[in-house]
Amino acid sequence: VSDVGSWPWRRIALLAGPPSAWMGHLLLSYLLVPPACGTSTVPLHLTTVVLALAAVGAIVVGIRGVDGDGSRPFAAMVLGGFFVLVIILQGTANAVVHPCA
Amino acid sequence: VTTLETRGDALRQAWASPPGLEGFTSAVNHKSIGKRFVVTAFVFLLVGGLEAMLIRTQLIRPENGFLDAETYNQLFTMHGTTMMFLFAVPMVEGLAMYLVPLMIGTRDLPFPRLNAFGYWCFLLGGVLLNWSFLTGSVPDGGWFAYTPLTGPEYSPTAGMDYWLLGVTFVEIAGVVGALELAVLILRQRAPGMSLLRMPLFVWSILVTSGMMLVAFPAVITASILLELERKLGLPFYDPGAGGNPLLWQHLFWIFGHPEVYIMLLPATGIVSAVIAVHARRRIVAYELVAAALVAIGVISFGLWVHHMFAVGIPVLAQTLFAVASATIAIPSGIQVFAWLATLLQGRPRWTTPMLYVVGFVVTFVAGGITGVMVAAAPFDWQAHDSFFVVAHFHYVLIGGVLFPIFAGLHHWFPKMVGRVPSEGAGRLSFLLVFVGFHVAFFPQHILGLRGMPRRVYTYGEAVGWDGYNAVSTIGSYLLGLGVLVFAYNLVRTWRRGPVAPDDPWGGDGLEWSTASPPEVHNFRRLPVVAGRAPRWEPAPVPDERTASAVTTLTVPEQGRRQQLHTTMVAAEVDDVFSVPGSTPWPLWTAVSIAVALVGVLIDHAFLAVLGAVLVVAAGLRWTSPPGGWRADPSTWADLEAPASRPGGWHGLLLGLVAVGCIGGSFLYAYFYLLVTTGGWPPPGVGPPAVLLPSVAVAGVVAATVAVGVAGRRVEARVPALVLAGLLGLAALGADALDLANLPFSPADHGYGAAFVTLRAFAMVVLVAGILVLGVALRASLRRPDDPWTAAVLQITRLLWVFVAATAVVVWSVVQLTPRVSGGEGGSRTGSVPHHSLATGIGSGTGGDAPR
Repeated sequence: VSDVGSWPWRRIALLAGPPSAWMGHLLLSYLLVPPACGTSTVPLHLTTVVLALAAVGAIVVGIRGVDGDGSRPFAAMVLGGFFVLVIILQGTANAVVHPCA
Repeated sequence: VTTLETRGDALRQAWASPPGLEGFTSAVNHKSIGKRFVVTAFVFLLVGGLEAMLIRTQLIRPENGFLDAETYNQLFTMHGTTMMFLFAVPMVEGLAMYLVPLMIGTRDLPFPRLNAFGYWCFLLGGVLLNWSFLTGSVPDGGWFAYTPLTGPEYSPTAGMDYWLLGVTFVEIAGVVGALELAVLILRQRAPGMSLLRMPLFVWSILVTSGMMLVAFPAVITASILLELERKLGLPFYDPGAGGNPLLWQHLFWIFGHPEVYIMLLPATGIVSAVIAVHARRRIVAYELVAAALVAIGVISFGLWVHHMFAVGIPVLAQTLFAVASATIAIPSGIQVFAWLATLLQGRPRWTTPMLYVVGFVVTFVAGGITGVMVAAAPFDWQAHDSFFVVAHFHYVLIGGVLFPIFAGLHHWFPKMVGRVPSEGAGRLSFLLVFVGFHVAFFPQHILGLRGMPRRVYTYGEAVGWDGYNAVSTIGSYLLGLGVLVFAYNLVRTWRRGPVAPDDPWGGDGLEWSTASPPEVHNFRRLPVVAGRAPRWEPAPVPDERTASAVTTLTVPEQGRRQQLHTTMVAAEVDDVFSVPGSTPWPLWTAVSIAVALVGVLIDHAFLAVLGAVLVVAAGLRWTSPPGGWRADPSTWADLEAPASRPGGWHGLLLGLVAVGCIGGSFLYAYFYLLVTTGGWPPPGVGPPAVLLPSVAVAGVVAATVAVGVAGRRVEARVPALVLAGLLGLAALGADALDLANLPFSPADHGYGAAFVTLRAFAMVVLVAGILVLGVALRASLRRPDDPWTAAVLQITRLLWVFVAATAVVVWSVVQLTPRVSGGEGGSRTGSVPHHSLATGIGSGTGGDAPR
């Protein structure tokens, strides 16, 4: 199957979705720390939940777009899973460490 | 046989460089340029190593008078700068430029002239940096050049100007090399070499290229801003005028931390290549190792704040970056375990490259563990700016980068020069380098834990650091001796070593199927691939289309340098294209840039303007079609009905990624200063004028539409291009008029500086668009029906989409932010940033301890 002329969107979602979600989570969390100190930490936790789900969603969408021979993109799935793990770990930090510290 | 020889002669003739000085100044072949990168970078390694020896000699005993404080500052600054910017990155780029085309089965890089241009930029930038030794104004602000130490107040000599301009010049080479390698890997792999069949070294270069395109613009931007502050007084980093010195640290480390992995990932690629061949087994868990490379490349962009743990950032924010820093150990560990498993399952030969690889694994793991230690913020607060950190990063950079480079040089040297290096001398060099390294740097961990700060030119006897320092210095001499033995071995081999067979190691990759050294055209018949280790597998039978393409390319049509485009993922045959031959214009373009930079350096406006004009002139000459405007169109290019876009389109796309990242860095600076000063505009400054900027952005958008029409409708091409050019010039005039009548000076306040810089960036992009329009118009007038002209128009359209996007984004930002950010919230002078992410002013120096 030629890859000329059409974008492999599902493959792109699988490869780019989780890393983008992780980067978004890191930057948003970083920006939300000062306001969270003065108001509420809910936006921080919401960011974690939404972006972790987005990363998982990208993996699911990508897996459903497997190649014609039915093979699973194993390495890409592991890669996506890694970024979900990092989002969860950073989300745990959001939950454990007080933003005013 | 006669036919094959004739075809070989024709290929040699088509790809040969001219002899003598003409060949030296005009060669563009990837092997020539790659070797020049490697040799020049090795010379800089020796220079940087000599500087290190002088530093260690000064520290061998307490209160030593071998060097004075100022010279010491200059030496550690130039040592770090040389090793990071002039050795490590150019060395891995040079190896990649030489090896990757061979590994993926093609004849040259996609843009050979750009490749040569990159080399000349690197060489001239390195010379410019080191020229400072002859002038006496040597950079002395550390290799990461923290402000305010490097600002005009505390570094009034030209030393830091040499640093800023030289590093920026060298980084141009890095960016164009990255662009070149990325397009090469994505578009020119041998038929059948799908992404998951690429050698791991090629994977590492692909990931690294992407990282360079995104990371280098940040330091280029930071350097431009600092030079603007130093030369024109624009106060980006001056907190007394609405600037912020921490902006430098953010921009620098957004580049600086990925930079570590930009050096490290190719090194791990070398390790994977060497282990597979010398353990005589394919790498275990290939796909996971490739995924680990991608993971490291991505996550390295989320670690920059861990260099700033000591500046007063909130604990939670530090924790977020500490988590990311620690988790990078996971993909790194995957690679290490894959290498160990390969060694266990293989039949290792303990050759010199393999010894260096084992030395790498041991040292890199140790450096990685101390890396996880300093990723923990509380430990980092204690160890920051101490010799512990010096030990850590030398474990990572010498163990993790230098050892693999030495392994790779020894491994591929027979291929590069056709002679086999001495194993005895190689083993001796390894012994000296490995033992010397650990004797030199392990004691520095202890010194750091015992409180010795980095960058002190001497210390008192009473503090008890003398024994460790003496041992460390002796170790550094051993290490230096080992490097000299290694260099001697290679030089001696090059001159009179035993002749190498084509495949001295029984290698698995395509590079070993060429002659040693390879012929100018690499492969007489381009290879076809059906697996990850083509030399260890039966040759595949190509399909008809593929067989036809590779057969066609065994004879150069009309003496052209023809290559094969394949598709990005599956590497199926796409189209045949030609690349230009030898030309001196890349050299003259680089020299023109050097003239402009020297003009800036010595405050000579005429020289700077002359250099800029020469750059444009050389660039326009460069963009002439292959063979020149008067050549027969049939000898121009091979864009006959390509199945996808021309390679130049992909090259421009990646180039625009880099330029977009420069623009993004300007935006980052704008918003960072806006947030840390509490809102713009400052008191006494109203919102910016609307009319002229709006006219300008409307003109740019209209011009972009006209360029689109020119691309779609052949009959309207020339008038549409003329209209686009006029609209672009009108937009440029409106912008210039508006900037000339600003009610404030950019030197008054950070707001003015950021505002004008952002607008100027959009104008520079617009000027580039207008110049390219001129090229497109010229091509449309002189060769309206040529495929080369069609390709130029595709590229012009892409560029103008970027020009328009830049204009709209800049207009939106500069118009909206002063109206919605709560203006007049900042102070015109002396404001203390109130945003807690930017604290640290007054609470520390950001970790760089001034001497």
